[in-house]
Amino acid sequence: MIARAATAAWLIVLGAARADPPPGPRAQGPEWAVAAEPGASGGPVVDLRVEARAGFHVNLEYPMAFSPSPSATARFQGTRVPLRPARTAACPGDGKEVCSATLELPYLPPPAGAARVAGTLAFSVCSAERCLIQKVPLSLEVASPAPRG
Amino acid sequence: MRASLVLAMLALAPSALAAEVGAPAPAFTLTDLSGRQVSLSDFRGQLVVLEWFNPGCPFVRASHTRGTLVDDAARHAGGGVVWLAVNSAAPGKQGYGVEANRAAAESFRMQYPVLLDPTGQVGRAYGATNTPGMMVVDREGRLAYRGAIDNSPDGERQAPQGGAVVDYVSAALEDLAAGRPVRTPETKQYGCSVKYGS
Repeated sequence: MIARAATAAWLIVLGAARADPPPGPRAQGPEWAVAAEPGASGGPVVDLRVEARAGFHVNLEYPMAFSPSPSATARFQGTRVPLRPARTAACPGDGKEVCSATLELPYLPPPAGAARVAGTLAFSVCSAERCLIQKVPLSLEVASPAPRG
Repeated sequence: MRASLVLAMLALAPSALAAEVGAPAPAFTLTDLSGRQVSLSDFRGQLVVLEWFNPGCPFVRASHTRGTLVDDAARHAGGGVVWLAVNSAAPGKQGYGVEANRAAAESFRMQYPVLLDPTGQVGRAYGATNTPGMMVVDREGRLAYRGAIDNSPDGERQAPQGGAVVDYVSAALEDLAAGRPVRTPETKQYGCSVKYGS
């Protein structure tokens, strides 16, 4: 009985060890990569960069959006924030398709201290042969922007 | 020379030589997943919806599991509407093959035929560019609607353009049932590209 309980406990520990890691500011798959960084403008904006790889391009017709998670301490406009690319880069040697798109995610920081921007980014990448829809959890700690003036 | 030029145009631009909305819907006879032949003319005098389908397309999966296609066909079946799925994937392309389509049709609980169009002739004749792409044929056999299933290009009804979800196919069917012209006869198709052969 004790041996069985000990085995079960070890399995629980192993299971916990194998659980998915908490989301961070970067994620990738064979066909795509995403990264969250403090916005280049210095304001309360996070830049979400979507890159397509391996013959895929960013599907600009897909309604990309960020859905905040409950662990976010920053606040957002709504439970689903539509995002349009602020900057894009063409695929190498192509010129027609976009392989990199930067989306600006505005947020309302807490009154003091760092803010956690956390949620799921929905986007799509396609090749001539297939499309993928990705919903990727991301999380980023950002310092509250210094007050202006 | 001229014939090969026309063929090349057909291959490169599926919608370039497609039927106009309001013109007679192109006739076809295709085979379903059980080998039965199905013709558009079998349904003369009825409203017919054609749904361009590909089991490997994530937009099709989203629409059939979380979006407008979950129950659209069943809702309209009671009104005598004929609903047919058409897969124009060429051999070797994503979504081609009886087994993949059968498995998807079962998974999505589709109670209507999936017709196979491996040459892509029917898809091109209708101007199907995306999956899911939708066509509605009126009782007189005219193409009355061509476009997207709805105005939410994520396939999940979560991103409707303009704020509220509009089911374009249901709206077209309601207009036709009421004897009105279709108010929105053409929209931009969204989703995966139809996997035509070369």
